[in-house]
Amino acid sequence: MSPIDLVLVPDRAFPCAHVNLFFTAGPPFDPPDRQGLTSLTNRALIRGTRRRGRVALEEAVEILGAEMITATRSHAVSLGGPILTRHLDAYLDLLGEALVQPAFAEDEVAKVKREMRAELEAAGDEDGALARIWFGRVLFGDHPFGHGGSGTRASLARISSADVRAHAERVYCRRNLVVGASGDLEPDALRLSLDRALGGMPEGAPLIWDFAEPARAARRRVVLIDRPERGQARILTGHPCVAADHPDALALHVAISGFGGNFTSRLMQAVRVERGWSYGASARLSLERAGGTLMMTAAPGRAHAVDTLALLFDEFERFAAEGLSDDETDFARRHLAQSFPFSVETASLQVAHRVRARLLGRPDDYIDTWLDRLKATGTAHIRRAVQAEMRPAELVTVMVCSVDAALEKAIGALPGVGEVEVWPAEVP
Amino acid sequence: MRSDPAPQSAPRPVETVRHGPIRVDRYRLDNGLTVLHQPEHRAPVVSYQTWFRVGSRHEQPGRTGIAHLFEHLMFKGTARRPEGEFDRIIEGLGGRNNAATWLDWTYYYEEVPTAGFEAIVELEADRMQNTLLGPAQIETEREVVMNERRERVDDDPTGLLAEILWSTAYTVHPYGRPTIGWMDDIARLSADDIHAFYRTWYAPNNAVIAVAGDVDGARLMKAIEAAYGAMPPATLPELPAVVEPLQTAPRRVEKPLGVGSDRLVMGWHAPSAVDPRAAALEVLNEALCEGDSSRLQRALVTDGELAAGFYAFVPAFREPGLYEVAVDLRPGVGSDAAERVVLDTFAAVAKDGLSPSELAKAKNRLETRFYRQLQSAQQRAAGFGYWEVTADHFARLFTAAELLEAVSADDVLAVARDILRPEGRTVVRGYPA
Repeated sequence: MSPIDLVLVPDRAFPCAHVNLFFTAGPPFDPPDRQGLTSLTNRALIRGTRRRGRVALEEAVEILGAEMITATRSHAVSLGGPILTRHLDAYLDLLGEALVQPAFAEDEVAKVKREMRAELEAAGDEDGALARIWFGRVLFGDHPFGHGGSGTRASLARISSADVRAHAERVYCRRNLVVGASGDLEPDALRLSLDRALGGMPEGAPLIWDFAEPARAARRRVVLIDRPERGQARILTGHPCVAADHPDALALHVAISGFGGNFTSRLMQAVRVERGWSYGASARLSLERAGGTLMMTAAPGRAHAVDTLALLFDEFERFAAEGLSDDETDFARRHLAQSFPFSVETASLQVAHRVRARLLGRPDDYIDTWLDRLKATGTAHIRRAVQAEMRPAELVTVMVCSVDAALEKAIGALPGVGEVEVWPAEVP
Repeated sequence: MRSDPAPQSAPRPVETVRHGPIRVDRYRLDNGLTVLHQPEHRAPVVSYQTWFRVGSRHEQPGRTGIAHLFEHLMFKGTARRPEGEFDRIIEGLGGRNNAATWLDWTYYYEEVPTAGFEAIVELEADRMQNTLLGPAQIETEREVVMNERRERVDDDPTGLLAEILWSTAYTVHPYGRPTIGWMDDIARLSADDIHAFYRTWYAPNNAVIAVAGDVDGARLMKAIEAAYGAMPPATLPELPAVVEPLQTAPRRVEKPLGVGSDRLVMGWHAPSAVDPRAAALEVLNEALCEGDSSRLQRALVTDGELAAGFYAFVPAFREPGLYEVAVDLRPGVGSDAAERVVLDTFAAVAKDGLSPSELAKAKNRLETRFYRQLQSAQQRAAGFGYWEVTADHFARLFTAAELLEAVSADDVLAVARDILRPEGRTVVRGYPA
């Protein structure tokens, strides 16, 4: 039996702990016609075991003061939660039972499917959520990175209990597992408890990330999602970007921080402080195991929707061509370096960083060496990385707003925009 | 929890409270400024929060939103520092900052590495007295706030229905007025209104500074006395007490929305945060609404399959707030079915109370949550500041946990009967237009 990969940071200030079991997985692994399978399988884990039904399992967990929380991220799924130390062993046994002996009963899987469909449809009523649901799909098209964790109405309907069982056998195995734990815990005792609780878990094999590069857009594309009678527009615009292990990832992180990561960043100053057009405006770089995303956001009033999108395009074009100024770069790098203590302030944050590094395939000392590597990332390197990886001509935009012919025409007239599509406000 | 007499050597807290590994010292300057300090040296960071005892409850009809708009303007610069410098200094130190306004309070927070701590004290003291409010800054920020209102209320079904709920449930009490303000009021707030608001409420004797993290008491108080010590106190207005009349009949509003299925929001007038019944309502809510095994989760979502999701909100305000239950219905399901489930569930608990298992489960879950809210310096400072302005003593954060543990089955039964009366409810239904 292989040893459990455990990341533990003890903190005995209070008699409680947090334990999470992470498995490499994610929506990109879902078959194209079974999107949502990863999330559905993870949620169905806690809907009963071969020893006890859903109701009994929920009662057993929550009488401990605990929660059994499932989550699906782009590169991992997790199961776990907070627990009072006095109930730790009982909680770990229940986690093990859910993972090793899941029932995946037909009626419970069907319930979860209906829940996911209902949540997807409810999310469609929120403009911000609707924009996010569509952005990834428009950006990556049919590529696996475009799979939404929540699936589609049609794909959820196709998933069977047999699909769920097969997916679980592939994902929930010992060699695909990282345990993150923090709080009032003894390392040796925790290892023994985990070995006991997860003793029946098959060895299996880690899932391998092996996805082709997503296709690049030939020109700027804009999708308008028509929500009648809205006073505001939700704008998401961006393009695919480098993966977490790319040699320029840290340089780009510094650059995006200066461009749109803080209140003093260029985007916030241009959109909110100077013009008052949006409550917020930001840029963010999501670095994933394979592939990443550069995304800018703003939420202007309808009257300033076109102007704001044009401003985001202009600012991004200037940024891509020139990078940050020397002063901006120094400021962004200093801010990131000085704020590092917040990243590791609590035991749970330290665990989160180490687990994330493990799941993204980064070296174990990634967080320990991060400051030194940041300081060694020079201004010229940062500018070169921006010029190489920021691609303003390939921006893909999703905007949820009230669409009329004038708005459509004005957006079509923005520089570089090749096509403007108008879609109804529906979820996939 | 233990309360100690003040030690004799400087710095001199007027009170010290201990709870487990946490020690909190209270200081008070001659001008009335209250300082709460929790030293914690595990990480080289400090959370510095300034809580003012002024929120939207203190606004006048026709001038709603002024507390929140003013919160935005506090970032616009002072006589000594041009616009933008405040944020630039904090971010340059590696810090982050923001603010929030609600019914009873407005608070500003900074989190900085320890080395930058003195700079933050000086920045906050400066803007407490010297904020500049030019017409250009006011107009730009008015537009930002209008956009914030569109984002969080006008174009957001959840925010809009909650606003309608509170404005319907309250007939006289200012809690019925939205903190972000009515759009017409935001548009008409004048520079004179804003200056008057600032001069009235932003004073050391109306503020509480809550500090948690890697700074010792002597260093803290040296910086605070230097920055705030010379500020004069203000004469604070005394607002007339407003008591919302007992609601004796249900109120109902129907609102067409751009949504695909019904939304239901229900509210009941609930005890204030300092009311002895507040803890029992918290326990009751935990059993009925929180967690996979809660009664309403099963009846509305997992087994009943009426809703995509729901949330419940237990108010913790200085005066009686609204206990809310909000349900997002599934397509094709009418909100009347969900309303019936909620009312039946409340009626059952008002008749028979909670089972011993439900009571134990709720208390265990609340104990876990109590520890989780003490993890970071920012969380701890927020807890001290919040309870100091809401309940007049920061240690309420700790006693709240003890009160929850002491809640009995009879306490829960009483609060279910007193608070969750069907005739006392306000119901707002949003439906597809």
